[in-house]
Amino acid sequence: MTAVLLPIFPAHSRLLAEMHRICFVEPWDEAAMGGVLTMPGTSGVLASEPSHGASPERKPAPQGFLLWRTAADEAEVLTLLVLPPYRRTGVAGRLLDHAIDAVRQAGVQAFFLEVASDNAAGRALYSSRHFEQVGMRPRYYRNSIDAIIMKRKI
Amino acid sequence: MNEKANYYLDITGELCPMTFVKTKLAIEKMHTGDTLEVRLKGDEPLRNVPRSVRELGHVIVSVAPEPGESAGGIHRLRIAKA
Ligand SMILES: CC(C)(COP(=O)(O)OP(=O)(O)OC[C@H]1O[C@@H](n2cnc3c(N)ncnc32)[C@H](O)[C@@H]1OP(=O)(O)O)[C@@H](O)C(=O)NCCC(=O)NCCS
Repeated sequence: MTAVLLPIFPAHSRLLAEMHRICFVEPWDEAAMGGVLTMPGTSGVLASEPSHGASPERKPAPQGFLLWRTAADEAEVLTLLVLPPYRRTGVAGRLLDHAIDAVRQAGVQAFFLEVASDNAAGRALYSSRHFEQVGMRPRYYRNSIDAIIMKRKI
Repeated sequence: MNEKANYYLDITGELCPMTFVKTKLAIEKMHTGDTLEVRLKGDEPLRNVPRSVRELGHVIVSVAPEPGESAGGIHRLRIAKA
């Protein structure tokens, strides 16, 4: 069933921190998530199960979210995740397409992100949205994995 | 300048944007005029953390590499809360 996309507010810190903990080895806790959400220039979009897919006993489940930050004519993906049961159904692609439209409307010229070199799913997703490698930070992540810097002109 | 800071934070193990977020959360716990010494590593936080802290209106008192560290190595950043 197609997800609905909802705007993210600082009040969502706890939910997003829970989701982050499921997907990342170095998760952002609730205070850190709140700090990210209240940073100048942060925006976010949450993918949720549509409410008609839920029953009275079961609330619509959150599926994934994307946070980005805009500064002048540049934007940067801060974090992106889709919970495991909802992967490979196009959720991340929709979140990213939404963010690309939003930054374009904000007058952004270039969208940047960093992805671990061993993250095949993330790299394939970003390539499918025409992000191209523009640099690398060797051994950037704690486990000595390189960070690939990608950019898409908007 | 050589006086000890009131607060101390090590973000050498953090990545962007957590480098800034952890610094911001630490500043929020301080009072006006208090100083925070932040230990950070690499050009990326060195470029972004002082800029973002200034955007919040606080003062960057000093930035200096630790003894023996190169330009992109470990630095100490001294912040005064506005
Ligand atoms: C990366 C991630 C966000 C992808 O989410 P998703 O909703 O499954 O992605 P989508 O279904 O929208 O995939 C869109 C395209 O990305 C590519 N892709 C996604 N997952 C892939 C995988 N596991 N292997 C290969 N390609 C993949 C494909 O091209 C896919 O299109 P297709 O399904 O038509 O082939 C998800 O796997 C995730 O949350 N991973 C853990 C957190 C993470 O790594 N986040 C990104 C860090 S920068």
